[in-house]
Amino acid sequence: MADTKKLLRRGIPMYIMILPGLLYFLLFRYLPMGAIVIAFQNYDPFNGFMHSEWVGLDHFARLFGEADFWRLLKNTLILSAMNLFLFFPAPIVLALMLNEARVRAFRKTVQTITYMPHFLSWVVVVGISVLLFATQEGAVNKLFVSLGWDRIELLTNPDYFRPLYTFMNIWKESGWSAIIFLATLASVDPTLYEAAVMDGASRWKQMLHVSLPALKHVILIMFILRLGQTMDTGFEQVLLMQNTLNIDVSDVFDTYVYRVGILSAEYSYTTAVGLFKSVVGLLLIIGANSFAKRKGEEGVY
Amino acid sequence: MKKLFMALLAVALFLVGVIGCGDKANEGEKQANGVIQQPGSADKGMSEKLDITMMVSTAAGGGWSDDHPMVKLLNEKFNINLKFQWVPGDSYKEKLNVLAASNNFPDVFQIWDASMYSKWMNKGVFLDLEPLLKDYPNIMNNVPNEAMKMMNPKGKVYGLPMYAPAFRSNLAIRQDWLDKLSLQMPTTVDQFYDTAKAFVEQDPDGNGKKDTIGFSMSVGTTSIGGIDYLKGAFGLANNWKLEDGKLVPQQVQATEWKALAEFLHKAYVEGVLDKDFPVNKDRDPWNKLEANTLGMAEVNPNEVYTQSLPTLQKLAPTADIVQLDPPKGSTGLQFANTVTSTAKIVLNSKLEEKKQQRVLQVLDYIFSDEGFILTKNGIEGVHYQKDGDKYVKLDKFDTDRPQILSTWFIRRFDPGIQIRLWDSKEYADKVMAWFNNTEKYRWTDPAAGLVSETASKLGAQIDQKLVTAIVNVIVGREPIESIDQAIQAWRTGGGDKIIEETNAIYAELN
Repeated sequence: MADTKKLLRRGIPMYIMILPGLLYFLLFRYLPMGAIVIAFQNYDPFNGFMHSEWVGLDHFARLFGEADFWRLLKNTLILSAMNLFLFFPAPIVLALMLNEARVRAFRKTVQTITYMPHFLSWVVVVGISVLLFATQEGAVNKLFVSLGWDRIELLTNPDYFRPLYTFMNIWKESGWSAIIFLATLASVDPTLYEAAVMDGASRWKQMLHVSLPALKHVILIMFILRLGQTMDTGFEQVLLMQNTLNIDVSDVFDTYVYRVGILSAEYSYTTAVGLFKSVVGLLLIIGANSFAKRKGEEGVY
Repeated sequence: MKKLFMALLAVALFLVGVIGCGDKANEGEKQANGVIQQPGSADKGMSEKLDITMMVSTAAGGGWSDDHPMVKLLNEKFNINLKFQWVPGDSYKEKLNVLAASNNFPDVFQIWDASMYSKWMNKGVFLDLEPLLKDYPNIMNNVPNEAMKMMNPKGKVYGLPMYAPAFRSNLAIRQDWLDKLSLQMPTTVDQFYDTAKAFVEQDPDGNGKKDTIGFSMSVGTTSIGGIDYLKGAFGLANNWKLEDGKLVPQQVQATEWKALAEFLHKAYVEGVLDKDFPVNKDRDPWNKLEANTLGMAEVNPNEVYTQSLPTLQKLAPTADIVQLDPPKGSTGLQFANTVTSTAKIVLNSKLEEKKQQRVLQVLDYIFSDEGFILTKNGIEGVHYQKDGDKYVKLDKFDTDRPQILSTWFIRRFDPGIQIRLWDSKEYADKVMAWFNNTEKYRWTDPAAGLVSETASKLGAQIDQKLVTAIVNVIVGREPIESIDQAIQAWRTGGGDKIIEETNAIYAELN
């Protein structure tokens, strides 16, 4: 008993040191969560959330009854699936390829060039895409016209929205996301490769049986984290790419919340939408994590 | 134990340091406030220095810094400490909604949106100016009674109307392109179409490439913009029209919409209409005119000679932009883009009395002759100077931009809000001619400023769906009949209720 006390006392300076960090999380991360109550009220800013009318689950009922709900869900899930199955593998492939490049200068240059776009904001990236792909004034279409070909409506044809979305994501983020995989590959024991060579493994077999297994754990963790973002499809990018003609495929929960919540000032309803999104994300993470653990892998927590 | 003591001491010292600094800074400010006393300001009840915050929606170029000469001048004149918040126009409404969520507004700000105004008015966000205004003759003498009353309940004035020239967006055409192709000025919608087509196909810029556009428009979230002259010619209402004493909204005019959509669809297919229109923002058609690629667009007469033409002439030295009368529709209808300003300048209802007075003193000054000259031209000797009986602009005017307060925020009721002291009479006449000529095509909205509850709740969402349907018809992705279904959906989705409610409000007022 005395020991515990002593230990506690010795810890006091440490506790004081973590206090600011703890306060930060309590004040700026946990306390604001209390405002979730407005999802269950008809929040009126002029009455404050102490005096706003309590409506229970009305806003959720409205969301699930909304004609747009299924469209929003479908669009969100499709974009997420494209992120998960097309964008997600891109940095892994890039990392594996860079790992195979033996000339250091070449590898470093390619790596730098590919992660540069990460630092551009979406406004700039979408701006560039408009300059390139606009139907009338875009560089690509001007070239097509001068060659006597038909114009191609890349920005307004809904069929092109999803591929363009994924392509832009890959272009902008794969270099940056590859860093963690490259770091993991750099820490692989070289003797493993040497042993593989002794056993007569080709470069391809080395990659398959040494590099890839080394990445397995990181890939799994990244995948689980990624699943948690299923309902987030990159608000800025989608909003900037959205126009009247592609809204049927480009309207996702994030843009809907923006339009209805901020522009029409329906705070409570859109908080409910946001809460729904977060709950789905949380369930997916928990589900994926326990699945991974059951399969004998290490999870995120 | 010693270690623990040291750690605690360190934390304590750190905290004392932080808190102490804050206190000192405050004291410094207080002292400074006491020292800077304006001579002569005490007799107008301005002995106490007050902080005043104003939020302004900005257009191109951004606002002033806190030590801008205009801010300094106003600060000294009224013994205030003006803090401007310059918010880009595109996100102004968003900003207001965010401020509303925390119920924390600046002292003076603008409300552009009629539904926001009526909603917040009822919540008591704005100060009722009615009992105060009688002490401010410049405001009272300048603002027409009708504009003052608009959108306010009887006997109350919750905001000062913000003036906007009714014909701010005025149709214009490239005269030099007409001359080059030996074309006449188009007067009907058919001629308009042929002219636009000639602009596309006959290479009016003479560069040997087919890279010019006939006409353009933009698509916002809830409306198609930049073609009001066509909407009018095809018989659509400027939002609302009166039919047998009943208000009918533009949204349900199926025949007119279908005719216009068909016209635009043909123009789109034949390449006469800008193919980029679905991704165009409001000002894009105008930008394209200035970039020497577009033949006809709506421009602002107040800026056409000072900005559009000089920009354009850098690319095409012989370019000339002239006014184009709205083309006549098949039934003889001819209307121009007509704006009824529903914007208001409001004071925060939480202002204490001395602050209310000070703010109104500042506003009253800006509405006075002296203040009007100041906010339009800047400070004499800094931004312009008198040279004999003429005025000369100084370089500082262009870098300081002292005029933005008069263009973005507080405007006298005068279409020449952008005509400066040093502008020649000839120039002023030329600009006013655009406005005067458009008067006969005035396109009135009988229900301007009336906002029903359903409209503010659902209006944006159902309008957006209708616009989507129309745009899909224009680009040929949906058949023309789909407009009928879209209008039906608009009606059942809340439109019928909007019609009913708006008519009720209208009947009550008239």
